Amino acid sequence: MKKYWGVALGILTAIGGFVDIGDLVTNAVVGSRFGMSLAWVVAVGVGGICVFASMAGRVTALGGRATFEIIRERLGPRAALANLIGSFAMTFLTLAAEIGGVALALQLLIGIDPRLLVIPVGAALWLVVWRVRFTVMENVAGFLGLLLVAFAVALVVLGPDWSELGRQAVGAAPSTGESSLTYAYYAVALFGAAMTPYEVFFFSSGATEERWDERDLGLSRLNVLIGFPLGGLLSLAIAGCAAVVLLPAGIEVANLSQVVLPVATALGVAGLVAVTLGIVAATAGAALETGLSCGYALAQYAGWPWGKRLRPVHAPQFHLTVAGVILAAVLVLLTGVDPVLVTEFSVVFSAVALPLTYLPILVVANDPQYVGEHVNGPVLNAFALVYLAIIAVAAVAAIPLLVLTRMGA
Amino acid sequence: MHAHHETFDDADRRVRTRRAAVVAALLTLLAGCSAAAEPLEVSAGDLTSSTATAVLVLEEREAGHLPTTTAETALDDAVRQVAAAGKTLAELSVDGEADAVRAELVTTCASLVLVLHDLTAALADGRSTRDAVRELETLLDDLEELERRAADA
Amino acid sequence: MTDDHPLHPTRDGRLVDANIHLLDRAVLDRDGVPVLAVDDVELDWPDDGPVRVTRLVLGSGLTSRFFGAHQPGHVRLSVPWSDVTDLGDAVHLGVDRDSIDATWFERWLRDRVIGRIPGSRHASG
Repeated sequence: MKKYWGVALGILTAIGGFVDIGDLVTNAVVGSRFGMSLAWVVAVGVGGICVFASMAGRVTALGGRATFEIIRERLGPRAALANLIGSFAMTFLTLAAEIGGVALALQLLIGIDPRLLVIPVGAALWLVVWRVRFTVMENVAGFLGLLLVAFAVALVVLGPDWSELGRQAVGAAPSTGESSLTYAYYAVALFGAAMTPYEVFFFSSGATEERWDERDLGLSRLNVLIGFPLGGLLSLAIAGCAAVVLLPAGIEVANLSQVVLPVATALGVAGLVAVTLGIVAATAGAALETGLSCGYALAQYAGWPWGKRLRPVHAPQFHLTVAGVILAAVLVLLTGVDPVLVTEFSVVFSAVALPLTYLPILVVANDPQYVGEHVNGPVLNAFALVYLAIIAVAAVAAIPLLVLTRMGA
Repeated sequence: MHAHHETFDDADRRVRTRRAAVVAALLTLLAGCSAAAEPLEVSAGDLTSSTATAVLVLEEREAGHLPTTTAETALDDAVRQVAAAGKTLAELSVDGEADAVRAELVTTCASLVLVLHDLTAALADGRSTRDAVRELETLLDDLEELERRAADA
Repeated sequence: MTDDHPLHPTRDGRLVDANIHLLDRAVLDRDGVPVLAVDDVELDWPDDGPVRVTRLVLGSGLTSRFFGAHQPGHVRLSVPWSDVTDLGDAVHLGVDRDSIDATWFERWLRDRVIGRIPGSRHASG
């Protein structure tokens, strides 16, 4: 009984934990401008994160070596340091976006200027890192994040013309009035949002924090293979709500307040409050994941002791890093920069950093020294190689598309 | 083979110069192509989008679907977006038909800001917003027309 | 394998490529706690007889590039090769982390900064 509970819990938290501010904003923007015509990108992105997160989890559970230890050892100090700087900067940018997202969502509920909220939000996040158990942190954030299911309920209640949504999804072409360049730009952004590198750092380091070993392999695989696709369905529901309510009204999403409007239309005040709480939980959970991931990446590269499971005095550099990035993110937000803009930047630059993270994981998942007999099978390797090709294309295309379309304007 | 005399520094400089030239060419190409989205059209689109948002927010508010804090936040966001678009439009320099559209957009934007401010006050005092919504809907029609003209200009 | 190859300290001879199996691997102490990573190896190069690895130089790899890949002597941290008990996916040492002199920065950070915040001596789990 306890085992089934563990499986259910893992899957539920994976669903709630999949969606972060990047997914929320990008899916809503895309839904309000392109309808469901970019749904295929979410499907491709979810497939990719499943393939690589399961590999990263397996490598950590079996070998105990975390992602950035492997990156340094495989790429050498020079390339790995470049990788570290890139990934760290990306994850930090995402952290700032998530904290901003928490503040914006709280503003919708209590009406306080988000700039006044970022300091208490930052302090609360640090306290959680300092004092709250890892599993409690993950499960509470994941469970409350499940309130985002309100997007799916809202979509059903709105009673859209499903065949029309299906046609848009199958058609996979830009809607009238949008250029194909802008379409390509948002395809890359959506892909970056679904496959953000921190998810892999966090997934593999979290396996160590939760003391996984070989026996947990099946559980890890289930969490990934069921939880992430269901999380992807949530992403599609967010896009669907925007496509049904905002697109016909001529509203192009530029603020978080627009993202939740369709839920209010369908479910009224209760639905709106539920979904906003879900956003607070999902973004706060992702803020913790990105903040910890900054610490994981730096400490694993440098060979310092790391992890929430250790006493802070036994991992001083790790805790200083996490506290430092949270403080820096708060300072960035205090300048008054628009968190939605930070989010849009972060998902596109995520796409640039993807190959740096995913290639070493694929290499090590094939190395018996790390995973023993559990090396990748030929089918998984074939999938992973296809994904590496897609990732490479997205990474190369990201910056030119950003410039060409002026951030999708 | 020619006799070839070159120091390491020369070779290094040659490689650097060539690399800089390639990067410069790429940047020029990107800058040249980045006329993908016209600021006039984009600003017109922003105005339409934020006005449509305000209309939707007020309708949901009248229907009792939105708490006051959420409605106020959404309206504030709309006002901010309108103000930013207005600023861009005021500073934009274009010719001919485009400039005519621009001037009309600036005027519409000014009325929009006034209506939205009234609305925010009405929401705070708990007054009815039904008349203001009608005004907004008229402005929205004007904006959609102007957005079409901006696309053609 | 012949005697020309370096001998593994605890097992029979095994060929180890320093670049692939040693450099930049994570270094763990007796209890599996990370120490640092292998930054470099110190070699003893006698006129007669084979080259021997004498010490492993440990480093975070974060600052070494600023020093041209050579840490100044006073901050260089190293352990004798005889402390190594196993070379696997990480380099395992047979000694406790605390017996290797941690860097001054880590000690200062632990005692003067992190250690002074309430709750720093309890694991949050």
